[in-house]
Amino acid sequence: MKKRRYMAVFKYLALTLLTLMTAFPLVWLFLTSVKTERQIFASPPLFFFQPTFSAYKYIASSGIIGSYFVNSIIVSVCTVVFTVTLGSMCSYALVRLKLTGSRKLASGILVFQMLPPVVLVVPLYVLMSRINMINTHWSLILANTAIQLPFCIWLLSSYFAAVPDALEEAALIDGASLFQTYWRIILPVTLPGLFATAIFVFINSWNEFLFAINLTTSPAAQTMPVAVTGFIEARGVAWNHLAAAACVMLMPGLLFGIFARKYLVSGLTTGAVK
Amino acid sequence: MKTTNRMVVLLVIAILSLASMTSHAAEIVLNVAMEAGRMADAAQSVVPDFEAKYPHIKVQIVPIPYTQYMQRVTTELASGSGAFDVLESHFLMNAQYIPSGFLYPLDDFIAKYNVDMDDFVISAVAPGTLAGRAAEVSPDGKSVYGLPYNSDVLMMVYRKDLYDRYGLEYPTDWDQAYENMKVLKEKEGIYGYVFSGATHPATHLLADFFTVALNTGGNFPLSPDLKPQMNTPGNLKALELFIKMVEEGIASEGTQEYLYAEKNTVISQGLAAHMSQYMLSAFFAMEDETSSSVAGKIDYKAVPGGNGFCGGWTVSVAATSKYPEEAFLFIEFLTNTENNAKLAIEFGNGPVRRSTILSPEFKEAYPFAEDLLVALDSGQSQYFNAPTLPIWDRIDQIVYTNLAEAIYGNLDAQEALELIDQEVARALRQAGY
Amino acid sequence: MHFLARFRRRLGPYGFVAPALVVLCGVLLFPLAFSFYMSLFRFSIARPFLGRTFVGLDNYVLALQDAPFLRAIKNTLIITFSSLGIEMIIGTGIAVMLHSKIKFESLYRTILFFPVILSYVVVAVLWRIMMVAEIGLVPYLTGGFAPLSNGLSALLVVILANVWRNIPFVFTVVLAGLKTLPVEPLEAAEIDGAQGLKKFFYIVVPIMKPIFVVVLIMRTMDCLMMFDLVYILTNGGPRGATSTVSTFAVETAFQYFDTGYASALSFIIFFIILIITVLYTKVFKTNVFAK
Repeated sequence: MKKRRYMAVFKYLALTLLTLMTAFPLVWLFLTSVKTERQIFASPPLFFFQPTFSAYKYIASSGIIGSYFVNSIIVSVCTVVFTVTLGSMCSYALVRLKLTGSRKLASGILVFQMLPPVVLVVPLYVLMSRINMINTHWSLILANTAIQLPFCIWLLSSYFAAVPDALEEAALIDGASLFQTYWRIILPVTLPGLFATAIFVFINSWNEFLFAINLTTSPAAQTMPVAVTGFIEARGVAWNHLAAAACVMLMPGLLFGIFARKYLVSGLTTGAVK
Repeated sequence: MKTTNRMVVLLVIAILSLASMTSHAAEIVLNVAMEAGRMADAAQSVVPDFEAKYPHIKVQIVPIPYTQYMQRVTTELASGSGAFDVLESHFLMNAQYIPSGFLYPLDDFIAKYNVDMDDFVISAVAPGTLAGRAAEVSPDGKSVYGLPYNSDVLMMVYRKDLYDRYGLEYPTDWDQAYENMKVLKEKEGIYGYVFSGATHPATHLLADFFTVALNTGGNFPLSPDLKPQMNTPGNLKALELFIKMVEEGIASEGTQEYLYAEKNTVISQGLAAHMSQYMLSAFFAMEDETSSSVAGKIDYKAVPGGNGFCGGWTVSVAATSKYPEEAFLFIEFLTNTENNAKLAIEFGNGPVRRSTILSPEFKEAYPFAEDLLVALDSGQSQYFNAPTLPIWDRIDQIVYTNLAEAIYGNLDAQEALELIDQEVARALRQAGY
Repeated sequence: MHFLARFRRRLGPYGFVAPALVVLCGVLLFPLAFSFYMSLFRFSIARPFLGRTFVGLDNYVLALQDAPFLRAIKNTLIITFSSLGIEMIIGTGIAVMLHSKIKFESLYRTILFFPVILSYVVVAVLWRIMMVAEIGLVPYLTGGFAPLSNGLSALLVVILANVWRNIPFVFTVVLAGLKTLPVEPLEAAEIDGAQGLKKFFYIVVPIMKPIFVVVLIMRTMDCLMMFDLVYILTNGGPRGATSTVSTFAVETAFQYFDTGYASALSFIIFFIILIITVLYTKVFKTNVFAK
């Protein structure tokens, strides 16, 4: 009996401690974003102070939201559209339609998942320079789509595999074409899976940094992660602006985390746990 | 269900089309890449006057953080995507850009618009002309690829008030300087010296190091015929001085993270007594009474020994610019006498014209004007006499990395200098020299 | 007519796969091949006037003798396996604790889950703010010690930030796996004592092992490819103490513009990842590709 009690106390202590360690850096980030420069440099560090939103006002007025944030939205949305469309079609075919060589194809696609983005960024830069594609939205959309496609196909395959055969057979008997079967019957059933995948692809594209910083060079096409790094300069970093930019950048993730957590968890676990 | 479907599809199509939209502006827009902060602000301040003078041209300043600047601009120019019409650059960058044909030759425009090149200080002209050797390496044999925009030379910035208090004399060499630093550390309890110890991405450690080495009998890492020559007694003496400074606490270990702006903060908060710093940036930081606690207590002189290390930026036109002549008009405007003076006085932008430095307004704002002119005219840089190597950034990295390792106690001084020579030789071999 | 319909039916499925394959081949496979081609030359895209020289596999030989690169490999392996160890232990621990009957489970789960959706950029900024000399909490608490200016401690900070961001991934997946475990046999095993322990392992291990392996592989690959976090937190500093293979390759490609050499470096990185993944399949005797 006593052992149970100790175990329980330990559990609550450990979980609470870990939760605090998880939340604290985030809270500190937010606090930094609402301090003035002088408050940030204060020693000892301030926890209670008069907050100010001047950093956010600066970000809003400096055109960062206008260009970088918008670029991030464009790139992320387009990437989601392409990745989920192409990925679901491919995944459906591989999983549900008996194709010759589909197993080899699936393995091949999985190898691409092991491709580190750094191997891709150099040739993409060289090739895209030649066709004058550097510093356009399409450079990022294509790069992101290609990088996320293998993962997307792998993830969706579990959802597609879970669809009962009976549905498909019924559709075929009714004389539906392949595409109609896919569009009208299978997709609606896998909608939760598609949604989870879409959210994942969106978050990954939103957070993507390597391609953004090397394939784009001016605010015409650069995305939020690049904007955030813009505050780390030699001039003595504007910490409050930096923190505010980081907070703005994590907004979509935060919103998904609160309102769509079910889907996020599903996306994370479906591939791994059958 | 169907209407939400349609709406989603429409929204997606709208966003997709945003991605491919290109702006079809009827007017000419020049995109000007500038180092974010003071330089970009300074350039921005002349834009209204420029647009008033040339109503058909609009100027868009694109500030880029200093730590990413060289990388971003080089990436952009190498890709040929034409995102920038005007850019500022320094010697290192021009040594790559000019032979690669990334910059637009300005000789014809200079002749056409009668730009007075003689009024520019020598060391300021050097980056845009590769110290007079641009024609040797440029693809079309032209000789000027950039107009001087900002000049920098390191001068000694020190606490005159403390010198007066303890009866110290301005040192004539670095040994004496070190003695003064020790006295002030003992008596005032502040650091004797602060220098830039950070090694990435800039070469400020080199500036600080050579500022001392050039005055202790040292020399630059490469001879004019490309022989590595870092391992010399003069350089060793300078390196040992830095090592001593850190060991004995005359300079703090925190210097490891300092580029050039942090030095200003340290002095202006009264935490150290001396530094070598790019002049005008120091002046502004020191005398700003709202944030500095040493306003009026600082004096500025040529570094002990008199040999100054200089840097400097030029403004150029990108070869891929659609409007080279309009871009030239902007850089000409930015660097003309009137604006150069204005930017120097209001923003602390290093003046590049003799006439500016000798003007009464400038002398009034910066009492050390004449010292500055002398320092600028005699300023040296490791790039000036050695050939225009495209791998200077690699060589600089080898030098400052090993110097830093020695200064912060991970490597023996003599070893560090030997290593530098070895690695530089290897880098040259690898690059085909 | 009949033939056409059969043709369409035969080919239809391939039409589903084709668009994705086109993108993969065009944007992944072709650039990969092109990158290998580039790695056989010594050239720089920023210095076209130097031309390009064919050097065969020389770049690869040079890379394997390049001390800073070898250091980057060492750092990457240290970061990867240290992070893995910590993540798996703490992550599994959290999953086990959350799986047992406790109050506030939902609250704990929501907060603990959060870091995994953050960009590494934000994570790096966050930790940097806490560690930097002038304003950091840690320097204040330790009386002036700035973790990012010392090689060893900077490495620890990178591991800490990495682990902080990714433990939620581990515990989420492991928890989901635990939830699939059948309940009664486990309870029975608990009561049965030592005999029950054997039964316990017969039930738990077969179900949980594949899950652990998948998590292990995914985390390993992610750590080996680490770029964003290090680039922003320390930029490989101080002086290369925390450089990873990715930051080194990107630095070579986009700071020194040594394009051919950088391509060779990135291929070596790819091979390292492939080798480690193959090793995993051998060691754990599972085939991730079997689907």
